[in-house]
Amino acid sequence: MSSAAAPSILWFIPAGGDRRYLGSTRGVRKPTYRHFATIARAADALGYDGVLIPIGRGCQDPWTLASALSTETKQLRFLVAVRPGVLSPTLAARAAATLDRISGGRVMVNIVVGGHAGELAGDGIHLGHDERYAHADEWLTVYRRVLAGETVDFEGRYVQVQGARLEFPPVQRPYPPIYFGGSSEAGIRTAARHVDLYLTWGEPPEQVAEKIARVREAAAAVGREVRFGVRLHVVVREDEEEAWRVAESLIRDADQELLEETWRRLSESDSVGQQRMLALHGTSKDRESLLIGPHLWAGIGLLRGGAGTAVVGNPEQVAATLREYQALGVDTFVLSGYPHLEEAYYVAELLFPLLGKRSSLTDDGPYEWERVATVGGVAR
Amino acid sequence: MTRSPELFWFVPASGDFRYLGDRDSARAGEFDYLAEVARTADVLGFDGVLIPTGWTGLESLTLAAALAPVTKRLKLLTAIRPGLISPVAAARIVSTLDDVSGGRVLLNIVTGDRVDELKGDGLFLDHDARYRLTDEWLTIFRRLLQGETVDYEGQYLHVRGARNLFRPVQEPYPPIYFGGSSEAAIAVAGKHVDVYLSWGEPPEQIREKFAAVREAAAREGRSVRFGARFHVVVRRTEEEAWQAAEELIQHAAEEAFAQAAELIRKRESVGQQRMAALHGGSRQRERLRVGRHLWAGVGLLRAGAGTALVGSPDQVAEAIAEYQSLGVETFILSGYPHMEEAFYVAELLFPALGRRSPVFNRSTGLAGDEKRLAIPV
Repeated sequence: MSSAAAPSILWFIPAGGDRRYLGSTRGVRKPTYRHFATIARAADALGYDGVLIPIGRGCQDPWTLASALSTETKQLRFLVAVRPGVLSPTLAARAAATLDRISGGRVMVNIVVGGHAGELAGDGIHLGHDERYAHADEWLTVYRRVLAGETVDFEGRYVQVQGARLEFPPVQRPYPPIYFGGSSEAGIRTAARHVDLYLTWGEPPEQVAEKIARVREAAAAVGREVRFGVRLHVVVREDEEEAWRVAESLIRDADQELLEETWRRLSESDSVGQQRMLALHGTSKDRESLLIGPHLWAGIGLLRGGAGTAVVGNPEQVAATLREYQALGVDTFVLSGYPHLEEAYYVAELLFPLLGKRSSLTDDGPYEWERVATVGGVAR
Repeated sequence: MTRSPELFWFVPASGDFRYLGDRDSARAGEFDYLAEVARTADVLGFDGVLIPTGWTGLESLTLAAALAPVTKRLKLLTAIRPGLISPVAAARIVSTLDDVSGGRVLLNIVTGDRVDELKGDGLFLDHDARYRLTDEWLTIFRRLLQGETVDYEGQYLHVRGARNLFRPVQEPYPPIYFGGSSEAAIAVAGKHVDVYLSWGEPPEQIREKFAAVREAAAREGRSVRFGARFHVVVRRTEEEAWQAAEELIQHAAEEAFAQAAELIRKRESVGQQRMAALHGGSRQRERLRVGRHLWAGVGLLRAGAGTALVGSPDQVAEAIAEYQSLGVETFILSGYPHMEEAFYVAELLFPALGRRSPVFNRSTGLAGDEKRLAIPV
């Protein structure tokens, strides 16, 4: 049992599509609402604290999904991505308040500025990297004040409003918690001023430690405190060897050409976080070169943008790795695994008990466990 | 009798009342209640519901997404505000909403007419410029939903290599509804929309407006369908209906009339001015009866749609048939309170329009004699 308090564990809705293998046409699951609802209901029943719903050109719209999924779940919280450049901060505030009311206070908002210039131009955002963060800063200023109940006049470089206000406030006060990821100087400045929880992709602990120190310092400089979360894939099995076999099978179908093409495409991003992810691996599937910590594997990043690392091992090993991050100040993990329905069960079954987390799989519920085991013939 | 028109009901996202302007009978527009209204409309057999937009209610797209899983057949006519969101983000939302609802989303493009709200939302364009923006927005939006990669450089919008990777369920895209009575609005309607909506003006005014829309559409080589938005008070007798209608405004606090008038003044919409002109602020009973079965009383206490069809089932059906003869295929109805009035409409008006509600289907559900009456126990 962990000495630290149980962390908050979120799962992931694969709004861009789910699959058994990366870089393969085999085992691809269509990104449909019915499938997302199955995963969300499983995460809800298994006792996850929430789910992250990502944003991007290749994803179904997270806001719409979260609102629909909130009607199909009971306790699950929704960490919903918002891109400041594509909608007004007041409309976003109304949508956040609406979702918070519909879900009974189960929404958290993940501010995603975006890093792919081509995709951003498609969305009508033609600002350079630092300008996007300057815009996000103004946008968050208006968004937070409106949600907190102020009537706002704001004349910024990018955002102007007169008499903006929210007539229908959210359940959570002053507003649903704001999450944010961004590794550049500009990103960290924005985080320090506005956000409640700073998210980072799962870099090795020493790199995360350095980043946390920078964010803490920037927040302290403006008299604020920020919490921390890490986004990781997980492959947990009862035996370490089995876990590695499963992890490596994820990328078995991808050929060298695809690995190189993916690398090229991802390196076009002007996201500093993406560049830090890419720096963790080359374009080789070789196990040694992908092992960037005792139980930390960079293989996912060969074939996927964004979060590219996985914790791989037996339950003790995975729990110990998460505790390393906890020791740095991380209290929230956003986990995922391919395919997302089945892996949600592995994590709840094998990892939750070691993290001090309850799950419907291990709770006794209304039954007397031994009796069920005997009568049902479940246990041998 | 003409074919039964499409009948939609209304989700009162800004709150509901038994009596307009009466705080004691007000119902908050909370999701659980709105979901009950939507489920009721679904069960009763309405074709769809209108989900409005505005500062005082739940945000329309978020609300539609949550209503989709709790309804089965109901179409969701959902307001979108072009000035506040990129057409690319909107296309993504609409594709997702069409998937979530299994192809039940319809779009209502609302340019907006309250200057104070528009400035609060960061939109400082004047009336005609707002419609030029809507025009550019719809141009990009429609092309994206049809799967095109869009480069567009307009006066207000600029995208390069825009794409919508998830196609909507409905081909080529969910039908686009739109209302707007000004010349600028009618030009946009002619160019882009599938269904033109009007608030429930008297037939001669509707006729004139539709002619202008038809002409604008013809200039673009297109044709447009029509819808009209009415409140409705239907009872077994005409007398009961008028009594119920007039009671709707009899319990209003005095300041409620002033507040509504102030709200109406703030709206820059030509359609709103046409609505207000019908009653001219008068509360006289005769003045509010602006047609044989058309009443302008709702407009004294509510912005937007301000007229009601009032009468016995046959009278309301007759009024509807008159609008059908002008080309209206879709009627968006509502009544206060929206839960109870949905039942009156399904029970009394549906049969008069030659249509059966699955609830009021004359079947007892009992085995055996079809003529058996179910005796409540």
